[in-house]
Amino acid sequence: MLNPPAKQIAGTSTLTNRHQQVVARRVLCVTSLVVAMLFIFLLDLATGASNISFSQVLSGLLNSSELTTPEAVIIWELRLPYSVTALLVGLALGLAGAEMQTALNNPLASPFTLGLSSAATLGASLALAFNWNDIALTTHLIVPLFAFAFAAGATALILFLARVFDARTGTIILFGISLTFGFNAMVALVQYLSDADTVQQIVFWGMGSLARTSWEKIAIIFMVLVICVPASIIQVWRQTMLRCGEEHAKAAGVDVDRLRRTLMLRVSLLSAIAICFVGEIGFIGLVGPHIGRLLVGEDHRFYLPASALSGAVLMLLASLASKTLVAGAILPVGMVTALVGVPLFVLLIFTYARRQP
Amino acid sequence: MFFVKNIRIGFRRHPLFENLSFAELKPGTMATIIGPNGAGKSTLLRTIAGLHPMLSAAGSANKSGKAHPEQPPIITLGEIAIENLSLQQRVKHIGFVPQVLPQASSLSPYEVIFSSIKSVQPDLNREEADQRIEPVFRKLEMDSLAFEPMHTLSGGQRQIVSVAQILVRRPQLLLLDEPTSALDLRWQLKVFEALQDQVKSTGAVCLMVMHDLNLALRVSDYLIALSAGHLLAEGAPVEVITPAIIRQIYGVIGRIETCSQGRPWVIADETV
Repeated sequence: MLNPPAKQIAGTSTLTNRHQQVVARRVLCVTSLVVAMLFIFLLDLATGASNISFSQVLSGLLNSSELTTPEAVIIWELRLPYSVTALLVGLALGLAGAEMQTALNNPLASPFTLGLSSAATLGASLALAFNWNDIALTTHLIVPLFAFAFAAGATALILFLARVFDARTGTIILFGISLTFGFNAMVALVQYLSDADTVQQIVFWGMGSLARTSWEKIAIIFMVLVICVPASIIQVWRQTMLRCGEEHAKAAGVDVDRLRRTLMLRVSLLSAIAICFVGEIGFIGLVGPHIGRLLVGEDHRFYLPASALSGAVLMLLASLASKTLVAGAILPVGMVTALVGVPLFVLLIFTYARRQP
Repeated sequence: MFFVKNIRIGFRRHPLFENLSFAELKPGTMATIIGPNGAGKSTLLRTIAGLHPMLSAAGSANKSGKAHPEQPPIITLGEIAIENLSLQQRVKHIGFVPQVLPQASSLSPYEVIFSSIKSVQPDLNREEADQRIEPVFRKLEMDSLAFEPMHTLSGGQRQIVSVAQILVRRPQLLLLDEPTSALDLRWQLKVFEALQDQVKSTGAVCLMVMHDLNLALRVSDYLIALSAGHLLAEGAPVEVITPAIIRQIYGVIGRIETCSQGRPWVIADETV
């Protein structure tokens, strides 16, 4: 990296050409991520307890009449919704993490730094502790609703505090960390006061699972992505400028306070919607952006899609691992994300470190 | 070309200048502001650039509708009334280099400059942007660093990137807050040569803040000396920098000597 080949051919290679090469390389990188994501998606789809071959899955997706009824149910009602959920949740958390790290100017920030996930867990625990009679209604509507409401409430609280006290980014992170401790304490309190069954349910919710998905929930996550992605695209240059520092972003005409507010709002919406349906899924929002940054740098035209795609790849790998690690059982995916993610991340850091001078 | 009249600058509870005006700066002028630490030089530049709000006229800070009409604040650049423009509108005419260095991110200098010009002029296409960036990188000898991440660059190299940014944007008014504070001797001169070239060829005005009086004497056509709360002197550099002014601004006893090539040189002897 220290001796770019362009130095030797400086006479022939203009900066403009090198810029085009850099852009082409980044486009290629993002495209490869899309291909990798689709490949792992299909692999995930073809993996499961019942023996349905890869080609059967493919032809069954294109033409349902080729499948027997149980096969069709397995593919359309179990595997496809799981895989699609993993893909969308991964995209949402990866994108949310990338924008959060830019907004707060901190590589340790993730959607959960602001206490969103513990707020969601608190909401879910309360919903579970009330012991509604209708179990289906509870798990599919009331728990996600409570989780979302609490995550949204936590966001509103932080945005309000940040506004009132004119907080800097460091202070916002401190708010988030203290909120996390507060919410965790309240979750513990709810658990302490609940019966053993409820405690088990709360703990299980905290692990995050794709089994809670449904096509309606998928549609909602998809809609939120459809709303958020164009907004990200519009702010892509401004977000890149923010990486030069607040003062330099302002000097380039960026209304930094407003940019930061809209980013936080969007990040909160994305992560709240993702975790309210599947439960706590850590790590993806933190590591997706780091992988994106290692691969394409911080030009947000490439950094945002690369982070979102890395999130999806990680999430799909986790889903794949959750079905294969223990034969005959599907582990909660939230538990597996870090198991899959850590080795991959460490590998990337070491490869990157070796390239450095 | 560039006017500042009757502006009130500072913070609501701590105004720095009540009624600041200085003479019109003509196209092609390299002007420098000197003054002691904390006098409000940076705040002045940030206010003109639109990063810091201008205070409304004295005594009517909370009744904006009833500002004293006798002396309206004026910041004019050519035909444009800058004081009425938002930050987003100002950046099309004004390039501002802040005192802080650009953050050590994973962005490359080329990406920083490219996204800066795209933020300011979104309708500029890639070819046009590339064509503008290339000569600036050549002039500042940044070619070999163009695609290295900023976190591998030195502080001085990052400072050159922030100057390059506004050269590429080609604004009518260039505001630079200590643009050479992290640079070695050669690069100080290189940066000023590049600024001078651009200002003379585009007929822009350059207004800088500097602490090094000898550098100020060397590169400026016009000097503005500020002291706590008021304008002390303005005019041709050799007329402004006198032992009396140096003593008044900095509390330092100094001399102005002429070197063998006829250049004035400031020598500081001791503090008062």
